[in-house]
Amino acid sequence: MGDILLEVSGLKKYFNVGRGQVLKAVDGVDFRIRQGDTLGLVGESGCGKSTVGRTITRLYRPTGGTVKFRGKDVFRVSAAESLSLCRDIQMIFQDPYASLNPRMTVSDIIGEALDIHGLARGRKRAEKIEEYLSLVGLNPEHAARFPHEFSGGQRQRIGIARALAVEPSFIVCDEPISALDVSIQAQVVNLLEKLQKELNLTYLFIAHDLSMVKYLSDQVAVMYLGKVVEVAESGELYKNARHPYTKALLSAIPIPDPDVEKERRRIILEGDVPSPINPPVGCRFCGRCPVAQDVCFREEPSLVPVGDDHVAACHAV
Amino acid sequence: MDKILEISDLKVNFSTYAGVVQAVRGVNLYLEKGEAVAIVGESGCGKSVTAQSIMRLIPEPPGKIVAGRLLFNGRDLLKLSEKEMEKVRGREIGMIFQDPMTSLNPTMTTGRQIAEVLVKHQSLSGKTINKRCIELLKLVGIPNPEKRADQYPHEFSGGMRQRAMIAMALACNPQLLIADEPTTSLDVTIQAQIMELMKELQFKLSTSIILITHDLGIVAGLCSRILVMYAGKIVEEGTADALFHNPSHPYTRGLLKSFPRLDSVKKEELTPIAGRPPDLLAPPRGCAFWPRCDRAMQICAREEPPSMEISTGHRANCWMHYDGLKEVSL
Repeated sequence: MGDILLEVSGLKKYFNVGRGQVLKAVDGVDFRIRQGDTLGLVGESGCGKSTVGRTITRLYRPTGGTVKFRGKDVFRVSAAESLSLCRDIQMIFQDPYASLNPRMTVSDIIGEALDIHGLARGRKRAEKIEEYLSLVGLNPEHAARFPHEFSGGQRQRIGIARALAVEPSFIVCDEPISALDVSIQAQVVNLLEKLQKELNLTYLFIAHDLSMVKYLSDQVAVMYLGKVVEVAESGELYKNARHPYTKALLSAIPIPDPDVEKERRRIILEGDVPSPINPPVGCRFCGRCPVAQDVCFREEPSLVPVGDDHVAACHAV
Repeated sequence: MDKILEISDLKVNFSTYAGVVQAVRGVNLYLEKGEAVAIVGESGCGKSVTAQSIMRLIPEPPGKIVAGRLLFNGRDLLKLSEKEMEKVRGREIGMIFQDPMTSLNPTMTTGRQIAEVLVKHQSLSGKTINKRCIELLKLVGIPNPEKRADQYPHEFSGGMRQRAMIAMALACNPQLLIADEPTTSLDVTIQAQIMELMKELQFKLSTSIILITHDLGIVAGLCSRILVMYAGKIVEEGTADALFHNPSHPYTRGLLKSFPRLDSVKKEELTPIAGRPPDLLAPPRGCAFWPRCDRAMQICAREEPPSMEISTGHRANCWMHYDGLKEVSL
């Protein structure tokens, strides 16, 4: 078991949405990621998973809680440390169409990262750019092209090359494949895996696609309405889910096999995710939970160990 | 069983500045009464254009249905006048669109939008229409239908909007329901709700369904037959069992191998399909898939493979299944 690289505890991020209302996008999230591992963060849209990723990369300032990277609080650092943290923690964004500047060539996009950190100049800079382009499987001769000349999958590779150019040790992947076609998704996933092995990277992989998360992750954290409800080693979570929301989420995923589908019993959740502006009192899942008891409507459950490296926040476990 | 829909050799072109895009290049398909069929393919393969052609919703220009026959209950829909077509749309064929956020009218209450379909096609009194609206909302599982009917789409969540769309599509008990990526913009738990609802409705009302999707996973539970589309053509068709257990076109096989299964115990390597779909401005000669195919032969680049039967009802367009070829390779 590796050392803990990133530790998130009690992380909160509230947004002011006017009229004195507060949207609690992330409301107390805890997890840890070991060096070299991948933590999958899953949940439905609006559950706060992207906000967690963006807060870790310091695109947002948290309302409360800490994020420790190699034991150091990332929000209490000097300017010099701050720049080196930027090098260490990088991000791959969801939408390969919106996250690349259309007015910059690919070599400028990757080169900008090198320039800011003063990593390479002149001939060495060009060599580095070529090196990273071939690393992500793009033709280095295309460095002078603009993003619109590439397909979605290729653009996502450019985004990955840009993140890798500063030699980070930790990358937040915010739904890097959800905008891509099925046959292209596997190309990008295999690339991410290959890079992880070669460069000893640690990933926080944010996605709503549980089958892909299971495939990629060592550990999985399930979020619901701003809270982590269950964390476990990936195989364990899929075999032995304890939280009723995780169970429902797993059963909602279709399996491409008609025989399996015929046998399967779905847990169909009623209703929709409540608004994070006025989350329910007690357990946030109580209104949709098939096994809710009285206590669930009064008290909020906290994460308790339910097995080896397996925690869940539910009164019923 | 009777065939409710039979499409033969449908071709649809779009004129763009860059040239003519051959979006659909000869699609043949049929649908039996009460059957649910899925058309699966990646973006740009022509699956939505096929669906819109059935409803004659292709904007002309730039689009044009250049060839083909669309027999619906024995009538060729392509020969109908716009007036006659209006009677088919909504009454005989209902359609659910991909994006429930943009395909509902934001300035009308949901109830009125459903009522509009009824007013258009059925001569009912105002009271009966209201009653029927509420019935429909109840049918698709919207709680509080009386109150919900007076609300605007923005007051509905994504899943609820899709339910309202389904209610609209079902308002006149159509014989055929076309669902164009009905769950793509929804979360998995909501997707499960909607798929369950469609299954239930098919069982209750015995509507024929064409489900268009890029997600091979969701079709396994609902559809008995699956058609796989690639570059404007159907490359493989067969029962769900045949297709999942014995995929015979390299593209179908590639699709199935390119995403992980939730229930797999050990970690199998994903095998992506190399390259990307061809440009339909200038589709490749021969088989459209050969530049990405790991088993391409010389003939694949020269000649287009015909549809070949693998077993009863299971066909694939691939030279691998050509009888003459098998003799040589033995």
